[in-house]
Amino acid sequence: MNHIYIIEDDKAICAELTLLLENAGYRVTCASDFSAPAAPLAQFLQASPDLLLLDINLPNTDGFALCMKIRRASQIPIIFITGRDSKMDELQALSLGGDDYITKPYHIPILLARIGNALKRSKGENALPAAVQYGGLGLDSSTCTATYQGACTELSKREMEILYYLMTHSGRYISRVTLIEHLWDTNLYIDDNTLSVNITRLREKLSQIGVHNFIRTKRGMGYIV
Amino acid sequence: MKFSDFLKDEIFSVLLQLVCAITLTIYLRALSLGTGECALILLGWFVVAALYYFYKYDRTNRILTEWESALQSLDKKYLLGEMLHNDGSYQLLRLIQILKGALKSMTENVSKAEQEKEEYQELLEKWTHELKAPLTAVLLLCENNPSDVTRKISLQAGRLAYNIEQILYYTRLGYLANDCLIKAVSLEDVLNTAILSNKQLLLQNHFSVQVQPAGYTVYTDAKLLGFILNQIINNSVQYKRSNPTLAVRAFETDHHVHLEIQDNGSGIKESDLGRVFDKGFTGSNGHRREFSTGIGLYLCKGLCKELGIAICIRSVVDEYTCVRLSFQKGAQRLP
Repeated sequence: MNHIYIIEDDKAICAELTLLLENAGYRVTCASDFSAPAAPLAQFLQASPDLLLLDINLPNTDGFALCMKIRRASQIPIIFITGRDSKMDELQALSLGGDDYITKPYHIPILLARIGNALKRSKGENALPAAVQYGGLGLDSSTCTATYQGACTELSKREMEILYYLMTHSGRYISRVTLIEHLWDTNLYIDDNTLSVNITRLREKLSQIGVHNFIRTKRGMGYIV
Repeated sequence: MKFSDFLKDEIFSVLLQLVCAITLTIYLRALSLGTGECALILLGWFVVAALYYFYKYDRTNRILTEWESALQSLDKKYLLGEMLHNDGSYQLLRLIQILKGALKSMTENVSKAEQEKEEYQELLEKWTHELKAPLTAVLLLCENNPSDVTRKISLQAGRLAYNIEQILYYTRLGYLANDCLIKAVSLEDVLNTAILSNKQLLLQNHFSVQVQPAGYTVYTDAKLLGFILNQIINNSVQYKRSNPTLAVRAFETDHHVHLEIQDNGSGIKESDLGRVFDKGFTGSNGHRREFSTGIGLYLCKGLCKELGIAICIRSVVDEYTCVRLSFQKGAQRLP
């Protein structure tokens, strides 16, 4: 599990960001000590995380100075998250060794994607496992195929994303809105009607390979696998 | 200055000379001087007077043209006082002193106003940055607790973010040239980011969004382009009708890459089309919606100008509005 370290002095943002990243499957630590210019640095070095989210405006010090000091000791990806959006700040951040620069208010899917990218670059690993299994049905997202007892069917990108999300959240009801929002986050802009069409088609394809009633519907609750 | 204008100014001294000449002639005639001698004296007088007036006309004219050209050549006209020099006349010296006094007070006021404007702008930027932190917290809170209520809150927070962006770019317009980072930008990335930033807005207004995939790369500032797209999307939502759609497509011609964003909203009257980019213009559409500020497209136009993007709008009332952004391809030839 990748460990993300956050240096941000706004308590509310820190707490919510921690929750968000933990939900996304990361281990998270927040810097808590800003009493002296070197305090967050010492804490950071002790934690030795995989990625750092760094704010620029900090009490007693600033993100640029911290970034410079951290780069002397560590080569982990550093993503600046800040309200300052002038290009001079961005240039300085990148030239001091920052890997990315995201301005507040950031959009969560974009933030998660950038974090995933930075980790992928530094570790050469995929953010998501390419294949999932549930109830005998296998889904390979790299080839967009579903397999069941040797039978195989090809899915469209939308159908694949829908199935992938339902299978990775199996046992829980997923509302249509949640599903649509998730698809938007992966740049598939489908609306309510199109979702129904895609679900119907997905069910047909699954019955063709012998999987019946895999996706169940409950009125007012959503879909469940 | 025409000679006749000069004579009008000098009319009293000319009249005085005439009266003196007539009086002298009467006096000389009374002393029984011959007509020839009188005529000779008058001729001599006339020649001297004429020379004097021509000289004076020429000198006045030269000073005036000199001042006028000095004024023309100045970038900041109110600095004229520093450009004037005196040719030794006491009257002129006083005039220049008075003018300089007036202009000096004016210069002081101008620089004071400029300084105040700068301070105000800095403060405004700081304030808007301060607003971003709680806004980010609200958006994160909503994301962590998904429900129908937080989706609505998220939508409102998005509107807040949109308006804060407008303030920021409005205060910066005109200074943005120093704050652009032009690099290769994937059109699709910017577009996806813009749509995602308006996810709740589009979803809750039941928009159907179609994006034709296009792998174009343009040379521009990604953040500013994102802001422009944001404005266009927000306009489409503001003027939507039933079953709203948003269709985005990109294509290229010989020298340009074009991006078109088309909605099926209430459209813009032909008579208004020429004015939609004017500051504060809300048109006949705006009166129906109270929250129209008429700043969005004005900002778009300004930003496009600084980025070298051509922006144009086609529209048919009650059918569609289509905004086209055209990017120069030239930069692709750079090594």
